[in-house]
Amino acid sequence: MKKILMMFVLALATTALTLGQTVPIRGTITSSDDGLGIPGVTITVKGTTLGVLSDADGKYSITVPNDAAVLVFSYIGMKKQEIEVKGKTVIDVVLVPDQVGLDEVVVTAYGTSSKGSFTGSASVLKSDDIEKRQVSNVTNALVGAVAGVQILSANGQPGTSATVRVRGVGSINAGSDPLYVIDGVPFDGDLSSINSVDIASMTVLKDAASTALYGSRGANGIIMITTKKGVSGKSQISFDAKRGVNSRAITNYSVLTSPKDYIETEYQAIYNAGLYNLNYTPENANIYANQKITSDSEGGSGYQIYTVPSGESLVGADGKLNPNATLGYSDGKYYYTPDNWADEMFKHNKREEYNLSMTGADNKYNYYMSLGYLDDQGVISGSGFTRISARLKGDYQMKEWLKVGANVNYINSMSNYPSEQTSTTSSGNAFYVANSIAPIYPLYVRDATTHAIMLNNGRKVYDYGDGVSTNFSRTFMSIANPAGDLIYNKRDYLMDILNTTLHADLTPVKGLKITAQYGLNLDNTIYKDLGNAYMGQSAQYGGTASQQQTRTSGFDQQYIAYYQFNLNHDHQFDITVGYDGYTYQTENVWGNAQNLYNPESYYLDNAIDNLNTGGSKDTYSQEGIFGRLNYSYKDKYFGNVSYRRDASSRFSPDNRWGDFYSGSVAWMINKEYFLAGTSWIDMLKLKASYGQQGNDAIGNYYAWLDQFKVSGSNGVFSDGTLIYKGNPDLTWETSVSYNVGADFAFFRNKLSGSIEYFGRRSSDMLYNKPVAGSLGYTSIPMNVGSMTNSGVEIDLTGSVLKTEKLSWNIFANATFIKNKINKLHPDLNGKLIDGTRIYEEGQSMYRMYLVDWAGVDPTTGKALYWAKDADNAAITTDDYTVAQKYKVSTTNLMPKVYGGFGTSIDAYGFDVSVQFSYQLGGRIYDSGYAGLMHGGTPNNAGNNWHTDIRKAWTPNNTNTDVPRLDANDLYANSTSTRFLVSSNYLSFNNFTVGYTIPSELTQKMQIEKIRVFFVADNVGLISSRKGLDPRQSFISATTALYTPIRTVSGGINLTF
Amino acid sequence: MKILREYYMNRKYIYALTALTFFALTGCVKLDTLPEGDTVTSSQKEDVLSKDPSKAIAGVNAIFAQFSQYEPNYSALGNRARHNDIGFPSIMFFTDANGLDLVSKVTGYNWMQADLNYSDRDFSSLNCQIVWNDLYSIIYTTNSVVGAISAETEDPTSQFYLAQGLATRAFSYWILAQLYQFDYAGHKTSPCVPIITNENSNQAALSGAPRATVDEVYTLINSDINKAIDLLKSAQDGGITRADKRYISLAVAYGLRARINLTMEKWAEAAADATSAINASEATPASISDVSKPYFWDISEGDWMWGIIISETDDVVSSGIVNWISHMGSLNYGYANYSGGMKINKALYNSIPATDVRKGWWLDANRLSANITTADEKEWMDYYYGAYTQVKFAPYQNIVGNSINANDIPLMRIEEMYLIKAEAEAMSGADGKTTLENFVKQYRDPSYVCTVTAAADVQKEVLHQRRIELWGEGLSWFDIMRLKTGVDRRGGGFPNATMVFNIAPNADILLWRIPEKEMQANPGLKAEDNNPAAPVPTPVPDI
Repeated sequence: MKKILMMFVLALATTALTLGQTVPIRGTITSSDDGLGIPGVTITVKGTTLGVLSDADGKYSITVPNDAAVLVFSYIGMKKQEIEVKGKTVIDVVLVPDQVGLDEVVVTAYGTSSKGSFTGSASVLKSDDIEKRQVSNVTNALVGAVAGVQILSANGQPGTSATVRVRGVGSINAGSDPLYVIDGVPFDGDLSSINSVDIASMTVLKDAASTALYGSRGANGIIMITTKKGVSGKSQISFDAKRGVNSRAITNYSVLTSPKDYIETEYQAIYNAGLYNLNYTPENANIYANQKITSDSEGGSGYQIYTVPSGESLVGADGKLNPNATLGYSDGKYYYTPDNWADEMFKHNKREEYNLSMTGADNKYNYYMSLGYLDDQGVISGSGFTRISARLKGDYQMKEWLKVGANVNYINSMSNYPSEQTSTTSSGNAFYVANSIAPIYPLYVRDATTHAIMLNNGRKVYDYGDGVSTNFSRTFMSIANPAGDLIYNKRDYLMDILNTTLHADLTPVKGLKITAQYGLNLDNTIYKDLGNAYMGQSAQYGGTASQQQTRTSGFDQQYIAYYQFNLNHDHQFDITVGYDGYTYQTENVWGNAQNLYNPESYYLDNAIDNLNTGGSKDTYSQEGIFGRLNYSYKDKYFGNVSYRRDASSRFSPDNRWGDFYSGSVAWMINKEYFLAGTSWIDMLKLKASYGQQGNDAIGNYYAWLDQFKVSGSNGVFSDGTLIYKGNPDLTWETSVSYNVGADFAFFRNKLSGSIEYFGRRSSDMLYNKPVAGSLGYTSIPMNVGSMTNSGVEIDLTGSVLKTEKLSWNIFANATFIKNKINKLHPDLNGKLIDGTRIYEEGQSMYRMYLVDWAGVDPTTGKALYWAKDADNAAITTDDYTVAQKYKVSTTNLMPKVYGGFGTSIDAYGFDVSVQFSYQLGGRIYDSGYAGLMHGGTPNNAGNNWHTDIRKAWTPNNTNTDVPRLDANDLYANSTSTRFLVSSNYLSFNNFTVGYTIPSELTQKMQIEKIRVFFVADNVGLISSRKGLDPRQSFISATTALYTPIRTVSGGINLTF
Repeated sequence: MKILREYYMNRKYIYALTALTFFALTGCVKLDTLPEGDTVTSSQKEDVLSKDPSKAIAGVNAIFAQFSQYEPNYSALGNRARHNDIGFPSIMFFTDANGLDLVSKVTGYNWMQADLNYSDRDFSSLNCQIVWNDLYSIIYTTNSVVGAISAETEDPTSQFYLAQGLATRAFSYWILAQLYQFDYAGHKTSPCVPIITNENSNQAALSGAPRATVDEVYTLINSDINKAIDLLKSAQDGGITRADKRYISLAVAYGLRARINLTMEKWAEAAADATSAINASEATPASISDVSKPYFWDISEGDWMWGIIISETDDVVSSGIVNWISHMGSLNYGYANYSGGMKINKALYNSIPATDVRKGWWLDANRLSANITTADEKEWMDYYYGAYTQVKFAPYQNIVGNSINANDIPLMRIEEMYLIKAEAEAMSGADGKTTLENFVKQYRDPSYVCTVTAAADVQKEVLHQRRIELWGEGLSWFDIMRLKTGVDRRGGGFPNATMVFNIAPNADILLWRIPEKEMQANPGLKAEDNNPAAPVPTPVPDI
């Protein structure tokens, strides 16, 4: 670790040499953090003005009067130490970072910086905070933890990554994911392959001045992950274990749960269709509804689950279930009775995690080894994720001029990721089906006489509702039973991931360092899928087998030269120049086949029919050259300029290169004389930055070229069906960021934090412009217009109490963000409509374009929507197709403020912490709710209702905003402004309580530390409607996703 | 300065730096990357062509590959996988389901529900986009072919290729013209569809294209099909004919022109073209014995003139259920097993004489058919289906319950030419009655007698024959529009009372609407240019 601060002598030191006899004292000052020398530590003789600074290697020498008793070692961010001289001539000191960490190290692009000299904008999440969270993917630990970072989680499948957005979304279509950089090397692999225990810190670099050197790949912010390393002179073994239980953190909307309720509602829908649409008499409508309700059409559910005395009808003329009807029906062969699908599908599965790590270091070497095991079984069967991870990281100072290091991380993981759990209308999606199915359907097939669940060679027989497993055809998600599929189908992703970095640092002359760094991320994934041969759709084929092998590699090479020097000791320069090249390749072979010999083996050779195979490869590459100059004057003024030239293979050779500049300044005001007497200010720094970056993430690797599909068979080729319309004029999206802010620490570091104003203006945005289908294609990538995200971030940390036995800290952050589209393509005349989204100049991109809900017609009970008459006057219509001509744009849906807060208390060995996140001031389209408010039409038959349906219009209840139930009204719950709701939420993310056994007791057992703890993640969520999870996206939320998992665990940490 | 004083460098540093520089230079990445696999870029196509000129036909084949695609609208529909999104057969289904002869039930497995109840006319509906995008995607590939070959080419192979582009373009616009406007004769100046050709496609990409009039569209259709016929004649003289029935032969081109002329009510020309098609074609109508069993699954059948060739390895087939026969076929595995199958209009079925072999193409009221003879077939049909379900189309390879759905799909059969000839002759004053009688007697119903003689009555009788003969082949809609019959589903045996409509021949709901996305993205179209939004039809009491 190189500190930027270099040796210079305090002016006052030169005035002190007139005193009597003197003694020389020398020594080395190292950091307890990493065991490396700390340059720039102030060493003074207590009670005098005598002092020196340590040099670049942390060495110092001072000549002190022989009566000097105590030396004071001080350095911003480290605890001050006073050491008695007592005649010693060599005094080595290890400085320990100050709790509040005023001058912690900020990991920056191509190097590190002390927080004091850092001119950009960054937030740091440290290992303590990461380790508290039980996350199977590190991205989930960022929730609410740092200002300026929004986390969206649309998939709770263990191991999957959350969507991370740093300072808003920069582009309409281009990728908005941040770049992950692990120990200095960009990482494109699977984030679930990183064991969070290995992480020493995660630093989010937010402004362009901080991220510019990584070029285009860092345009959406950078998350620098620094893995742990050894502490000098100290060998340590840590072990921790956690075991817990998962449950669903978000349960369903309030839906109808009783079969009687459901059937009466369904009856009403069909009855009304007879009455209002088919013009039947009430008597005939009753007959009609009774006929259809158990049929598989016209709004019927396809199932009979009540036994009705012969000659009587299921539902009476009063719309009530026949009181003589009894639940359960037998057709002679099968017995039908409803099951609770949610209870049958969602399980309290286990989560366990064990980690062992060993570290050590001395002057020349430094190592960190870890071994981890994670088993997270999610909340539905067949969605488990197990991971074995091993890391070996070491640095070795071979020669004075040569240091080499490697970081090797091997991961073997097995994920049963049932992919359909995020596919919103898939019949394989357990969440969708369990949340939406009417409470009348059996999950299992039961025997007519015994009423017991039938077995097939010991296997429970599931009802696929296909008219084959029983005699009934379910109108909701027929030929489907996700519970059966999750149990009898198998899908495995077996991953071998090798993530390696190697580096060599040469120091040919003092101040110059040349580094070659290579990063290789290799991911070999074997996917296997079994469609079971026992029941359901795949059984029709005698079972199906698929195998796919994918090899993905990302190879990064960097050659960087650093040169540091100073002029007159006051002017400190630090120059960096380098080259960065990256090649990404992904290659796969796949096959699938049908008709299995062994019904439970998914290998292709086990199948005999319909073998289909394929294979392909994609390559993407990028390179850049860059230079940076850092300058500081007397540790008070800091400046930085950088330049990067980037090329991407996504663009045509003519438009491939882009030039990007950035610069920043900072001013450490507290070092100015006019604040010297202000003792309550520990640190106050003003900073500003400005920078440009490119973004090429348009999704397609060859976006500048027209792409066609090759197909054919029996010797006949076809190569002209267009699958992607390219654009040779496509070039870089440029984002310009600016950041103005202050970092501060007041009241002896009791209150510290930062406040920043930021802006990020993207221009020439990459956008898949929808084009007229009459051209033969429906979209083309373009550089369209510009957009700005701007806002204010506040990050505060407060130490409320701090005594030897008790400390209480509070943190809070808030980000106020605004999004505005400045300019669209000139062809668009200021407006671009893309389905239900509208993008308009001067407005936020988070607006929808919807038919406007006008309530319920009190006389007919039909849904009304706003439209216009011939004179352009507003009218209401019940014909949605007419209203579609008069869609309206909504206001900005994005939340106005989001953030997180939390607190932790350490007292007498106990530690307690809680962490929350929130957002306020936004709206969201609640499509989950919309789906549960249907009118009972045939395509919604068998779909459950929200309890709000009880408010539906009837002739006796005309003053309502819920339209009448009617199996023939197509537009009762059509997409409209009706389903926009507040997206405010408060989420209780984490609760941890621990107890550390007093060291006097543990040391007798040769153990340094024992901590036992209890931790709960995803504890609760308050949103505007039960069941609504606004964290899924900025626009809409559905009930059909793998919901977040609540995990409650207990565990132990041991340190030897 | 200190730095300069310390400036020294010994040999090992020089070695190290040299090594580093070497790594840096050799390590530079290659920025010209291309896909490898089934995606090719235009540059790769040129490269392949230069290495192997025989691949030129692959671009022409694309026209026909475009007819059968697996979920081609997936991204256009906002990443929606629709199991009725399969290329041209989607349009065949949607239009048949709009009509009155293809009867199906409202159930979750019936992917034609939106067409059954006309909610497909909603201009943001998925089907509305599928129809539009699919036809214009075919036009895009035809434009690529037409634009790449000189109209004056003397090379027979190039003439043949160019003819494929032109004829298929004529076919596509002919379909479009009948979906977006009423009949030709009464609506020549009414707005039809935007004309996009190889000549204006770049301009259209910049500034859009307005709706051309019906007459303008038919001018293009006629010009294209006439050129195609001339080119195919020259190509044939030059010894170039088609390799298989996916391509358009001279006979198929005549057949297409016969259809076009029929739609334009140019009766004499239609009769002449139908005759030319019959003469030029090697196809002969399927015999009574051929069609006394489930049939029409293989393009090599003698009566097929033109069709879509489906291979077992095609994505639509490997998908299992996302293919034409999955929805249509009764005797194979597929959606039809669960949707209750595709049935014929009950009244139409009852009008088929018992002596007509086609009576066996559907189950009768007692769920029996003379064409269903094997125990396998009987058991299968008995298990899944009710009365009037089709058994016209055989399962792939005639294997009952086959889950390999690789049936070829007919686009033109020679029988249709006889029916066009009969109608057009009658309407142009010739003896269509005899043509009709001879055809039906010889190939379908030995006891057939055409009892009417007036032209209009013969035309009606031909329509009756067309409805039976061409049932399920995606042609019924065009008769409804051309002959202005309206859609009267009463008495048709529609299982859902809510789907029984009686739609007048001039009702706006009959016209498809230009999709919302096209309206938004095509600067040549203003909101008022679209066909009127019409409410879905109201059910009427069945009879």
